[in-house]
Amino acid sequence: MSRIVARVVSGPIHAEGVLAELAAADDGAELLFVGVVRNRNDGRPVRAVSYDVFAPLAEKVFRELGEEALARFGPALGVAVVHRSGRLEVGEASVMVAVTSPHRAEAYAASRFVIEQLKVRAPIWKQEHYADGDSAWLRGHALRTPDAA
Amino acid sequence: MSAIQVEIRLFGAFRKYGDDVLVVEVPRGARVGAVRRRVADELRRRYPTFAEEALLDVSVVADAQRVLGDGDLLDGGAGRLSLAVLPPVCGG
Repeated sequence: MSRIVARVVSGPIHAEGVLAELAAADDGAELLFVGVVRNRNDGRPVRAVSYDVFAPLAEKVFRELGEEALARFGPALGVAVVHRSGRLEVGEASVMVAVTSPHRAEAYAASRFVIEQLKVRAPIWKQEHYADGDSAWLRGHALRTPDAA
Repeated sequence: MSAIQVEIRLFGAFRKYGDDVLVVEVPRGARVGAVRRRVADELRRRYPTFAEEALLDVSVVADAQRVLGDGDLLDGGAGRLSLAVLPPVCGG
């Protein structure tokens, strides 16, 4: 039975709880990636970031990423993707990718794969709020349509 | 009824125009590309300063389950649809 958690939340991300959801008897590794709001971007001091999320499609994309990770790196993996929506202050966690696995090699590979794919496939947008009071929506990666060449 | 009411949710940089939901009307039998054009028309009508045609060109139309192709037929069986316009993404 595959273990995939795919979730958009509006409050703080609780890593321990998600790891507990993934835990299985044959795990030898538990790997956690947490993305946090950084205090500057492109040289500008950042005070906060707002994440806009199209939640139903985002959760579907997270689930697809989990399934792809299992197909690439082994069916014994557990994969959790949790992303937060709303306004976050510097230092708060915006995204968590948790991977559990019998061995660490697959966990490291799957973790990297999932976060890199999430950044170009998930329907999520960032608005940075700067120390000088200005705000800006960040440029991103255009999603592909099914009929794109 | 010969037209479909399409409720469009806007995300990301499109939110700067204030409304995050538009309602546009397209004829039955229309394809997804028609929705994109109607969204541009409606935003220009409501906001004279709208200047995001280039952003609209690189955005996609989606429902809650998948990104749609411009050539896809709209499923207007119920007379009303919910779609979303998604600009280039930058989550994580």
